[in-house]
Amino acid sequence: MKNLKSKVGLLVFCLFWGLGCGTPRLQVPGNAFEMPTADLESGRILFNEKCASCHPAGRAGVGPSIVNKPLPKFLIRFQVRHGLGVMPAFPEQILSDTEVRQIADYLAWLRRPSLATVDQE
Amino acid sequence: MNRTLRILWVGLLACTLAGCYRILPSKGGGQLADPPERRFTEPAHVRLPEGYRIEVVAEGLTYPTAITFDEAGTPYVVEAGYAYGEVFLEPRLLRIDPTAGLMPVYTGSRNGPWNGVTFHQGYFYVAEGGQLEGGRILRISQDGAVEVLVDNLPSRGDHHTNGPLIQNGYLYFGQGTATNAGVVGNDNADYGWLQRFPDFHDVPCADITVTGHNYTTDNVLTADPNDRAVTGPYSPYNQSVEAGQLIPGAVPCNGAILRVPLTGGKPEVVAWGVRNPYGLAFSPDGELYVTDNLYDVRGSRPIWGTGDLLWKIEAGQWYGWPDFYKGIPVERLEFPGGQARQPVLQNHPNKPPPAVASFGVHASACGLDFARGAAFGFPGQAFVAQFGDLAPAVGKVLAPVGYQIARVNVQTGVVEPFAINQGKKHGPASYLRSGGFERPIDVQFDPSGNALYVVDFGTVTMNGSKPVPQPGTGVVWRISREE
Ligand code: HEC
Repeated sequence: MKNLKSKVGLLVFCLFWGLGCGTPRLQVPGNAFEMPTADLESGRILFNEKCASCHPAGRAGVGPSIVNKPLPKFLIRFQVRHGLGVMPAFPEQILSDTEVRQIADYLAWLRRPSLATVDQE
Repeated sequence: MNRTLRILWVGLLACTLAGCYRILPSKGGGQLADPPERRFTEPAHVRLPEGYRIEVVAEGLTYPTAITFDEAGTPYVVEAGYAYGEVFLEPRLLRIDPTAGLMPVYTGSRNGPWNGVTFHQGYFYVAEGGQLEGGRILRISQDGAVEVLVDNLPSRGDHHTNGPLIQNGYLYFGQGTATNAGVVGNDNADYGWLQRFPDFHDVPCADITVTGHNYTTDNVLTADPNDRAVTGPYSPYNQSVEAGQLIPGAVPCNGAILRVPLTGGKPEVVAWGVRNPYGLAFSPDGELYVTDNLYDVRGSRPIWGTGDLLWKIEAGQWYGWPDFYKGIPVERLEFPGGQARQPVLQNHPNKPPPAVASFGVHASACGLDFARGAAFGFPGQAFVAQFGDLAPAVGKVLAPVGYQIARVNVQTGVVEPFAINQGKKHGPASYLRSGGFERPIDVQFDPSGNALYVVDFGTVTMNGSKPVPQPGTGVVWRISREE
């Protein structure tokens, strides 16, 4: 995040999540890809255990998509801890700070540009 | 990023999220204003991992639900003969002949849905859902003679008899619950069975005592619009319970994995406290796994935000229905705009065991099989067919959920899409106007282990809260490795 313009852009993105302004990105299906780091693997496991039922593969389901917009990591962490809106909050007894960070890192990894390029019409 | 900006961010997030969720409309995969008139299939519209291909093996089936293979590896498919939306037809067992196409082997009576089939030593074993006459396990010979192995299963409600699966001289099957969360309510009148069987209700596998919570609704079974029905858990409609009341257990029961000796006899309980144990499979290391469809947001005891689960079954255990989700008591679950649910059982038989994996809320995780050996890839991993949501009847979703084949690493619980429709959006073929999957309901590897067959139920759209299944749109797909 280098300049104010991009920050403002992100704010607008966030504001519009419900309007479906972002483009959902799908993962390459079935790839046996190994996560590049143990932290990311842990993030993937925790995400599957605690989040994927409402955000399947990060996409919209019962909850909104969280991979179609550049949500900053601190915001993901905030949302997990406080559960704004109808989403349940996940207190420290359920997810430690490290674990929440690992989940946020995994979500950022899911949005990495090389994955986005697999999108097809 | 500096502090002020962070606060601004969080403030904005709070503004967008507060109240926003409740006003968003449901966008389930069946909620189409103008569904396409005909289904077409185009294998290129299904996205697979690199090195795999998919083809169509059979088309034009009406509500197919399951597949099995004889000794020679010839596939056989069953048509359910019943679909949500109160469609009653004759269920059928059909051979998929490599040259002659679909050849009927046996036609059943109007007591579907036939939810599963397995072939064992010259016989087909069918789980007959039993919406009208109760559930059964049928044994059908290759020349079409039938015997009833198990009769009178409690299947006249929301969920039916599922499976079956054979191992070491026993036939295992799943028996779904009568209701969403233990209490007969007006949602069961919408399903259609409450008017037919006003006394039908869930039966526990062992004695339970109840907390005494009752649920008051309009009484839809009487003409007087001011009539109220007060209904307790595990009780007929409009019959209440008292705190500490004992409800006797009985077998067969609801929400259970049961088994009978292949030679016949009384069903016995393997495990209970599941909701709709749909897909059963033994892993290569001999453990029994089951897919379970979790709570809907409907009826007298709606429960929100509970994803479907994959369980590894430990004999004798109780898995938590109707008071827990994945080990979490219902009173601790979030409920948008409503009160938390109260437990209905005073004592719980045991602490519910942990789940192996979770799937999307309302994904409808159905058929299950394991890759064995290296021929197909992913040995030891589970493949799960996801029928897809029936929103808004089951609850609200912001986008279609399910409609794919998921691959599950049962060691880590990581679920990845294995076969999923192409496109930026996600949903069934009718929603995407494509030739891909509609509603995958079963997956089975052929005996060689080289190919994964997918049974696709066909198009089901929603007219308000009523499912509208389209006859003749069922398909069998085959996924294999490219040479
Ligand atoms: C029971 C369902 C449920 C679970 C489990 C869940 N979420 Fe959510 N999530 C939601 C809903 C619903 C919303 C929208 C909240 C609202 O608007 O009221 C949401 C919103 C969010 C947002 C904000 C999205 C945006 O566009 O601003 C993030 C980030 C998020 N969730 C991340 C997570 C993570 C990470 C986890 C796992 C630790 C998780 N969620 C688990 C249902 C869930």
